[in-house]
Amino acid sequence: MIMSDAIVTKRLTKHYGRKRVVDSLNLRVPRGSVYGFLGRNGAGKSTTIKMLLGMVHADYGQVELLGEPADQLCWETRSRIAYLAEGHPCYGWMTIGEAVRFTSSFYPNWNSTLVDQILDHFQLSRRQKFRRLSRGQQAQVSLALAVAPDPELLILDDPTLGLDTVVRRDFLESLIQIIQRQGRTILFSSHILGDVERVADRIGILVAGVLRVDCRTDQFRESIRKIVLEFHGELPEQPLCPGLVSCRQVGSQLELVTVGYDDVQREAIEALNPRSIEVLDLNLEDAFIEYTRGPRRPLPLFVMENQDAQKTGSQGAA
Amino acid sequence: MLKRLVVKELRESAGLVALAVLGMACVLASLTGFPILPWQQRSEIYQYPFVRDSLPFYFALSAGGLAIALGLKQTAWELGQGTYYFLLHRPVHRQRIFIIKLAVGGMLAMSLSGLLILLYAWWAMTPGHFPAPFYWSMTFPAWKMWIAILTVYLGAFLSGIRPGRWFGSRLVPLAAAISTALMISDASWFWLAVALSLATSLLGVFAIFHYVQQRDY
Repeated sequence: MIMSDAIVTKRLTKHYGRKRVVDSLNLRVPRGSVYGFLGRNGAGKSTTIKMLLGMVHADYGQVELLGEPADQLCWETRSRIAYLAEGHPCYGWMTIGEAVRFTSSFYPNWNSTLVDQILDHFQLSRRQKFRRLSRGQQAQVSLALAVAPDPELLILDDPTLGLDTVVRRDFLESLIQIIQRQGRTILFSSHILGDVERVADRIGILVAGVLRVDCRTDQFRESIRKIVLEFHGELPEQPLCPGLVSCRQVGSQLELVTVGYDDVQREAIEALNPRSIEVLDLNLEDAFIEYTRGPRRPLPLFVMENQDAQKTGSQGAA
Repeated sequence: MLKRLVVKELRESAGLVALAVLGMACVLASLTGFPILPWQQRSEIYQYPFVRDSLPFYFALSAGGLAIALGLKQTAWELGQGTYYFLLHRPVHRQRIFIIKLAVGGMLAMSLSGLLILLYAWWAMTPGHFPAPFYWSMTFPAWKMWIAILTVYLGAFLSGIRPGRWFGSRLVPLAAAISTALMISDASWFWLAVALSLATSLLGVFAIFHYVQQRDY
């Protein structure tokens, strides 16, 4: 049986005033995957997530969630989608027990045992008022409320924002346990690349509202290379090769960041006649920073439809 | 689910309702000369109830204030707190959530302001309180003000839910509602006040549901 994607967007576009914050976004999140949705502040991640959930209206484009158009979701399908908003909003006057009772009234498949287990695990009393909880505890309660209806699709908007390292680790470990249920799809946005590396099997990177990367996490990490060229005398001009992300002069060295280092790039670099060539691997955080930092400029497109594609950066400049 | 939503709205309005009840008790005490504080003495009442008294001013202050505060609390406050993100993605139609908000808010504003008029009328009609005849027809102007409260509440609700470039432009529906409420209170005939109130309320509800569906949260 062919399983449809959990999330599909087609040319999703949103303007705020004259500014285009999401630009013709074509996103596919396969069922059962954990998708890390990355981007710098203002890249359009939260707006995209809000458009997926109907909180923000798209100016153009379509959204499908669990195989149904998002604006025509039936209640049964909607009850299989959970959302954790940025900052974990909830009614501050409610106790945890009241929040559980309030939220459970909307869902036919509410798993009270799971809520109790999560609250016990985090040592949270049902009598505590939500506004009196720390940010970490609020995140834990929100997670419990989100997973209790046994959702097929979990959408989390920067769930670890503002949490300290220990709480973040606890939160992520709980998330990993939740992920282990087969068939569950998770899309989460984050600024913390370490978190993404731990849980996401695919990533998408938005740069100024455009999806520049959509591939497996390890594929992205392995495809971004830093190449350090050492020269004797005057440094040459920036080499013209496909997949070049950035070029920086550091003393007698030229530091290049490239996507999909291959024979074509090697030949272009060797043509510069450097004294030495050093090819460095980058971790996800460094790869992300190198890929997205600096003044707005055209970046090599990196959207991979085929996970097994050999060439990763040869689609040319945007 | 509907019960939980009603309870939530009632719980969130409880503070405002308590404040309004206190304010209305003071208004009633002032109109009837009833001492509020233990050391006060019962004062003589010289104003003819419902005919020539301070009810319009006090009513506008207390009932109007409650209607405005309720309408804004149910909308702008939730926007400010970000709790719409907690509520609006639940598997329930967005319109149903707002119908419950409007029903609870409208019911509270109307019942409390109606109660104020009824209690004042009961005092006025009870022999021994004011040495003048009482006819229910004397209360018609007060009931016209009561009808206008619904328009004010809907105006405040609309101001809270309607997006605007800045605070001033967001308050345009409330300003329009207050102007209409003054017209309703001043209407020459009771039927005209009812018709005006019905028309503006329908318009307000229509506009509210338009923005509920169309606005970005």
